[in-house]
Amino acid sequence: MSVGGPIATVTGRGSSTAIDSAVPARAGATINIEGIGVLLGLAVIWQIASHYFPPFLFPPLRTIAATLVSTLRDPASLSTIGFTFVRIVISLGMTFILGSALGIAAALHSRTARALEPLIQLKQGVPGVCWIIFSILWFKGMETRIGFIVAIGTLPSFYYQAHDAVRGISLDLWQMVRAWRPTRWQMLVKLILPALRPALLTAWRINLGGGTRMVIMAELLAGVSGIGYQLRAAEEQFRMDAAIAWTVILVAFVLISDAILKWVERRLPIGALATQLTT
Amino acid sequence: MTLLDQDSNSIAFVDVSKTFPTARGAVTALERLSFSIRRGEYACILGQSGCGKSTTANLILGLERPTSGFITVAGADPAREFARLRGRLGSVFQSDRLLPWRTAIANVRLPLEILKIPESSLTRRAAQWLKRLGLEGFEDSYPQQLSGGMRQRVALARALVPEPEILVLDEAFAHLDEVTSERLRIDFHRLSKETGKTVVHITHSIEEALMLGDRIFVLGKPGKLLAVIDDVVGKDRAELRSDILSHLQGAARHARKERSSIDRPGGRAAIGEEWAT
Repeated sequence: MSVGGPIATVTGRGSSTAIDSAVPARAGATINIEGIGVLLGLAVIWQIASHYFPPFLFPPLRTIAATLVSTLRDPASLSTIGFTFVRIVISLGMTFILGSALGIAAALHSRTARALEPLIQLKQGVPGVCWIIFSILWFKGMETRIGFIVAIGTLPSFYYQAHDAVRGISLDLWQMVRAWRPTRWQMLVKLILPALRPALLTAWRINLGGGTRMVIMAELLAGVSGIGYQLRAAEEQFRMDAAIAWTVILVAFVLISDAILKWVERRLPIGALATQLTT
Repeated sequence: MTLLDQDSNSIAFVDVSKTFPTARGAVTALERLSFSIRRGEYACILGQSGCGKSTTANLILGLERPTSGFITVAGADPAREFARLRGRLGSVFQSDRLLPWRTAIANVRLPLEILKIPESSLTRRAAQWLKRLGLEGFEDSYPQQLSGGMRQRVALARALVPEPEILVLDEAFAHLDEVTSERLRIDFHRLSKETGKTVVHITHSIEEALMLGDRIFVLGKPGKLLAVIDDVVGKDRAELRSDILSHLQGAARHARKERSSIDRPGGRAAIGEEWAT
């Protein structure tokens, strides 16, 4: 098709004012002086307590730091950390795929939603610790137990986030994309998955802490390796310094992972969060 | 020439009715609507709010199915023969409906990606259309970084880039400021004529219909065809305007009368008897 030259003009670069005003401002990082002050205060109290109580209750900060450093330098400890983190990432990753897929399917097909709803509600009603006991009784392998516990614990969150995000996609956008007559696969990759990104990132951020707790709990109760197992060993040997060193490593993992997810979120196109328009 | 004459007609509605179920019973959007639009014609469908104009657009695009009757678009059933019309229909809606996570050029690329056009020409074609519509330099801007008029131009570029045979515009210029809307109307009309496209332009503006349409289909509530104004070009606009207004006012009077007969004691029963027969 040929047309002659530019058929219209816009009002020049003057529109950059509109551009500037439309870009949401991103808050710069600020130092939480109050929070740091409270943490320092706690450290001082702990150090004072270490002078009056035995080391299995309040070991000195210097001992904790030395244990932490030696743990991070020890290849066997590093492999323990690796075991736990790989378990968390793989279990969460698989649950993410399953939960999101079920959430999308339920949002698109009401019969699927009706079929899944009782199962999700049943899961929500059973306390988490019961699932740990079930997993110990049902499964022999450690990895299977952990996978099961994490899946059971985090699947509903991925499911509901994906389900609600798909249901929240504006009808206007559905119709616009459908009017181009895409295949189902194209509908998924051109509209649904990009529209889901913010919700799924949120689900990851919510589940990361929860998933970590579940893996540690499973290792603690039924494991023969991993950080949870090391925490149990520290408890059996009255090694509070080791328990705290392992806990610090866990907290660091959760915080670093959350920071990575936040970074990914910031890298999303600026319009990604505006997906859920009114229908 | 019949409604289904595919050599000359691009779009045909035959006895098309559409009702939507609601909590308060079925609502009729279109009632036994029959018309045809010729190839290369610029047809305006004119009517007041709620007369089924957008339903008509959605039926042409295959986004809805008629409750009864049938529709052909470029020789195919738009709702049932979904893949057959891929790339042959373009649409522009009242709101720009741009994907907010895509840049302007990525939005224009969308239909070409769906048509699986080779990557080598995707961006080039999209950039060409943005340039034609005066958006050179804004390719990498996100929709929320553009003004309303610019976003609607991106939507127009997206509709035109796959070079469809038929374009459906649903109040496409309605919420733009007058200057932008006027300029886009003129540009779009010229473009559609130069490229010989069939255009279905849904509008509630008599002036817009008179300015752009080769033929005007006047719809009244609920989705009834009140009149077809042929050969608009060259006729006296004031006369046509008053003609269209008289059709619309007549329909409004008729609707008021019907409502009052329903509200009268026994009115509903009388209508019930009429339906029963």
